[in-house]
Amino acid sequence: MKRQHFLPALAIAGALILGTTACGGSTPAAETKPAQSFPANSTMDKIQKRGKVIVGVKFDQPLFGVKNPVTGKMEGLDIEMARILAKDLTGSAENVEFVEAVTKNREAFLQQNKVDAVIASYAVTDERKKVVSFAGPYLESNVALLVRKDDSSVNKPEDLAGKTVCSTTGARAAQLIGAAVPAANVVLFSTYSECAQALKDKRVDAVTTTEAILLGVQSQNPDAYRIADGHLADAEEFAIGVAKDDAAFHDYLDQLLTKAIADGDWKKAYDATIGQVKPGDVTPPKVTL
Amino acid sequence: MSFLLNHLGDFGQGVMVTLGLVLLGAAGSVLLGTVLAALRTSPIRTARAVSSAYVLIFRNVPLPVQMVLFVFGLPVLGIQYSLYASAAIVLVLYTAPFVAETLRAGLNTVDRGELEAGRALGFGPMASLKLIVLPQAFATVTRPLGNVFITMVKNTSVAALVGVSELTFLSDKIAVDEAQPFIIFGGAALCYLAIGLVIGRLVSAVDQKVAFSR
Repeated sequence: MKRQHFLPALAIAGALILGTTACGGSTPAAETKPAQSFPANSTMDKIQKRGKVIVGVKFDQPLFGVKNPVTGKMEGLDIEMARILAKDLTGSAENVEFVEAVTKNREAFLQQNKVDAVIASYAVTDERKKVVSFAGPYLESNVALLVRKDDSSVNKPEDLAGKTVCSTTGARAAQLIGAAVPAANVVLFSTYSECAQALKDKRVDAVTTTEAILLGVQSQNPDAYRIADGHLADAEEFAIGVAKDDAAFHDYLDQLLTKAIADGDWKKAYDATIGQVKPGDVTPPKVTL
Repeated sequence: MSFLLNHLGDFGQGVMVTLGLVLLGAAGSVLLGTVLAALRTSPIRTARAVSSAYVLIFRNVPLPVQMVLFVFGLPVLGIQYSLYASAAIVLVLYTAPFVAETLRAGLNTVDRGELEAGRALGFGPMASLKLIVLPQAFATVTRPLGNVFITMVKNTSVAALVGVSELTFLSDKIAVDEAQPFIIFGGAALCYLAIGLVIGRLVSAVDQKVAFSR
């Protein structure tokens, strides 16, 4: 009797495994109808021949690139940018293969041609410009401060003198705060959720990074945290990273972003993601890189 | 390569913090490990149970898990140490069972007759442990203990997880800031190699010195 129950159970388990692998694979290429043609061997041409764009994105950065734990779908502004790119080159916004990029491997991905482009909350810095090319920016955001709601002593960067600020390894904010408020102690963790926990535990007095990221953290627990009024002076630019020597692809992306900003696709993408948590109107960035 | 020169100070600081963790970790885990080993071989049943329960838990829970639990879990209970102290404590807690188990192997090599002889000469249990059993046990397991310490050197890198600016953490930070992971981590690897080499040499020297005492 026992044995008879076992076989169907095995069959179900097998089906489940097959089912999940099928879902985990890349999406089948939809009907392609390239709108424009490019010189042979250019990156654009290669993407069109392949039928899909391969993009390095974050899988864990709310509002930028995150894999929805419930639906398994990719969401965020970076993802929308990748879809605009896929739509323009292959005719369908679904022809994207998302590869998980973390802060540390973004340059390596581009140098080794593992991806066509990196759209992974990639902030422009001088050091990074030396190894990759940036197209865009597609977003400008303040570097802001997240503090405890019941702590009124921190309202602007200068208030942080003698206090402890949290950020993550690789965040540009970590470099900025050191220069702006030398008297602040900086603690770096690997994720912003750890920073948020440390803020709650009063181990640190503020968390600093891009405002959009902080809004994501704050929206998860609006009773505990607030965004301070003042922010670090610099605006951060987020751009699409491409291989250093690929000028043609870079210029193509610049022109594509300019077009997307002009015809409202950019606004649509923004409103669906960061616009959900940040009140007020937004001025699209100027494509300058 | 010029960016490396700008970060030599950072690298030096990282090595110092790592060395600090190594020294604290080694001293703490030898102390705690010796106590655990002594309890484990004691005639009192409760003491043996306490020791084996400790070894069971702290040897089997991965170090990163212990590290994160200690730093982000304990504050919930109102207990909070600085990040550096937390890392050092967790390193000791995690390494002590390995020291204890290694030392236990050494304790078992000491002949029962030596204990009996000690008792006949009027040594109490503590005195015979301190003067007769432990010195011989340590002398027997010098090299295996060296192994435990070298593993611990590498384990100090787990402190990077909780924001202690030791070698791995700073390498990570510099690598991301400069967008040059390979060169920076190559440098970190050489530093760890050097620390491991020094410990290996020290262990060899100690082992030769104690070779006559056993």
